[in-house]
Amino acid sequence: MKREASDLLGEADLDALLETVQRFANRSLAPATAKPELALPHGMSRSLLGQLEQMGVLNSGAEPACGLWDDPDDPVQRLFAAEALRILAAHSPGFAYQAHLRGLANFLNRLYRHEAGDCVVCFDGRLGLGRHALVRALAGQPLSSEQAAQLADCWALPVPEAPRLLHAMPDWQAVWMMLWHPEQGFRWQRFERAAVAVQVHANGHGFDELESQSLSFSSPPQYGVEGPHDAIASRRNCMLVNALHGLGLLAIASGGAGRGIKLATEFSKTRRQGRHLIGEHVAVQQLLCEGNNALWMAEGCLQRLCRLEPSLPMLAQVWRARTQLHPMLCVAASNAVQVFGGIGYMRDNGVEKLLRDCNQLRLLAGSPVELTLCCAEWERLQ
Amino acid sequence: MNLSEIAPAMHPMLDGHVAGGHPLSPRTAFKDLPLLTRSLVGYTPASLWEIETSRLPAALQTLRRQARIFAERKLAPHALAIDALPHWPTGELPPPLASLLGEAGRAGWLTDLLPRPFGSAPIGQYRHSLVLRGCIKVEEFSRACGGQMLLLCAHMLGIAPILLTGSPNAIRRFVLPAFRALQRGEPHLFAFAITEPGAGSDAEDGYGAAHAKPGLVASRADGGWMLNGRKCFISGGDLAKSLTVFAALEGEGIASWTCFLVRSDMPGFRPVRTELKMGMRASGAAELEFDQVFVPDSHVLGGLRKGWALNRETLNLSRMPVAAMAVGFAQAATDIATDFACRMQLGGKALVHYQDVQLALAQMMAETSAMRALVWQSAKSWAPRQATAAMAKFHCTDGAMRVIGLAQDLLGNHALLHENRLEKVYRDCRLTQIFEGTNQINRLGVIEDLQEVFLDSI
Repeated sequence: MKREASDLLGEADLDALLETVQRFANRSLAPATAKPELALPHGMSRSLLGQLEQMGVLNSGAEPACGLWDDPDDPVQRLFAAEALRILAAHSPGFAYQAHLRGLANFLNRLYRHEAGDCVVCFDGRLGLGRHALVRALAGQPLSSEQAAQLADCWALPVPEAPRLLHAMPDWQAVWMMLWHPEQGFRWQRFERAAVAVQVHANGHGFDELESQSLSFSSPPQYGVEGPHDAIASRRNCMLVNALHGLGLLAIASGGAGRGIKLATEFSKTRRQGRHLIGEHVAVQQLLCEGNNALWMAEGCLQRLCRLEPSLPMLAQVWRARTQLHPMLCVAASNAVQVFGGIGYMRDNGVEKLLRDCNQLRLLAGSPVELTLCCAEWERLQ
Repeated sequence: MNLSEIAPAMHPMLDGHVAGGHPLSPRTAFKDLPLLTRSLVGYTPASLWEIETSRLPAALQTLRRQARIFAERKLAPHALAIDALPHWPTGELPPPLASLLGEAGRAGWLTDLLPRPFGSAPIGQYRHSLVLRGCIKVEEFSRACGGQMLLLCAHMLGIAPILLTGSPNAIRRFVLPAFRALQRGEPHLFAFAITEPGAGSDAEDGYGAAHAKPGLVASRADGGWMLNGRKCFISGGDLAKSLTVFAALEGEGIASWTCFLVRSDMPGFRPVRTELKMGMRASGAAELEFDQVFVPDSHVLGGLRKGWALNRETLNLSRMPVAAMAVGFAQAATDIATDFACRMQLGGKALVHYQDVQLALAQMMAETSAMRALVWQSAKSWAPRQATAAMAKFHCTDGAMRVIGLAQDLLGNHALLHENRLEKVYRDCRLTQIFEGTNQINRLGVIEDLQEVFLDSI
């Protein structure tokens, strides 16, 4: 039976829960990330994720409760997840991303009745989304031979010469992947770490706390299809989890960029250029205002998107929002660097890291160009 | 990599286009035109780089080709490895960079501000402005590696105030011995020290400077001046043997700035630290401490209170090369995206066959060429004025970041990997919007320079 929205989490509980997350961010995450030039050690990340688990913000139990993405059908829960990720991202977008992946993996574990574990989700295909054929497949529409080839190339089981990229803490134990099968369509599949060949890529652009990894299978692993095969349910689950992922990416980028603009605003109130505080210069006001505009739009969009019913139209709306908002949030983070000037370029200041993390979030699970192709295809299908 | 060279080898045509041999292809149609007409609608299979190089005067064509060869052979192979090194101690250099300095010196890339026999520039190149020659070199070096480019070229910035004094004596005493050492492969680098803690933009802008409190002060001493204070973010400041240092006279403001030639072995001078930067990591940005550094009168460059003029002259010369750096980064991003689009296959065909990829590549090429045209046009003058230099600087550096963004979108999540080089190009290029005056300061610099035009119209 479908639960009524807010069975588990009412609007009234939201503020209290978010306050708990904020306290955790202030007391535990902030001191651990106080030196932005030093990546948060993996041991510390694990310990912090453990604290989130104890607080119930991450729920690896068999039953949904009030954790991140526990009940994606509940708009209040979606709102909680998005807001919680924004709070965490203000201190470390990379850590927030890891918590986000863990929350989605917990959801998939419950959905397909798997044991809880140290799980992650690999969202990107071999080349991003593999273009807009994805939309036709998720909508259950016929595919041209070219589109079928694109899906097979991008979303089949990854092989060493065509791996998939994952950004996660190094010691995950199992990974969920979205796989394409020509007859059965898209489905989620979980693989244990031992079955996966992992190649580490050093010095990635952002997410210093995490590791960039190529995942592949040197020989096809033995695995059973998750759950009974139901093409419609599989498509729905793929749409749902991708939509939640898009919401999470936007929320994290918004939190990171918001932190950058906050730091830059504080700096503009103390730093002088010539006779004036730099915040009194229109050039700086413009940079900050452009950043705040992006944050305002992102916040409004997230609120609206969280209230949509999970479906392909929701996924298309999330993509549409991402095409516009991620570049704007990158501009906001870049403006924060610009307000700081030379100081902002230095790693111990921290805003350059927020900019790199925002760039990273812009390019995961489809670049804005690719998402525009997907949105255009969605419009053509209407 | 150039599309016209690669694509035909892989496919007879790109999707959405007729092949070069098709009757409806302009190339086929043009073949039957009269000779005179053909000369007006000519086609050449040469790459864009070759076409643009061929439009330069012969001496500059040679310079551009030599710069590209040096950059590809000496800078590019170490670029990623150096970028990934742990932060090294102040004043030291990892072996590949020490070796690069020696090779660049012997090849004449560190002494080409002056013609032979004083420096290494061929006389033929001296028909063209210093700035244009610098821009051509800087673009090619940046395309290969921003950090190594800055290591080599910040040195030129340090020499510029000495040349701009117009004093043959200063050039003979301070520059020529260093040039001889450099040509032997000994790294006698220069650095340009204007930025002060708490006053980054004040050194770049007259309005800010009018109200700024000097952070480095020169007090009169017997036979010279005693310098006290700090400078920060000085490119190459920890490695330089000679520094052109700007200090206010005691009790006066920045209008009293005087340029001093400081040797790194003068007692009291100390590079305190180098910054851990977002990019351009092969070049250190140093904080310098001056604790009772005695500088003799003979090391005052251009005269007392002439420093502000020397600083602004130098910035007029140096902002254009920053624009050229950005063009180099944009070209690097375009080349990386082109290579990726031709190499990566999706659904059985190279990405370059997809129309959105073609649109993006065309946009990158057009924007990069347009920025280069602005730089080459603006840099022709021997005496670039502030407005021209500032316009080129902010326009090209902002434009290059847009081009890099397009390339990032094309590579998607692969743009995030260090080995694909694009993420380093992004980090390196981001500095160009900040140094030599933030782009906001440069925009105001245009208006400052042209204010009479506006005042006359009021």
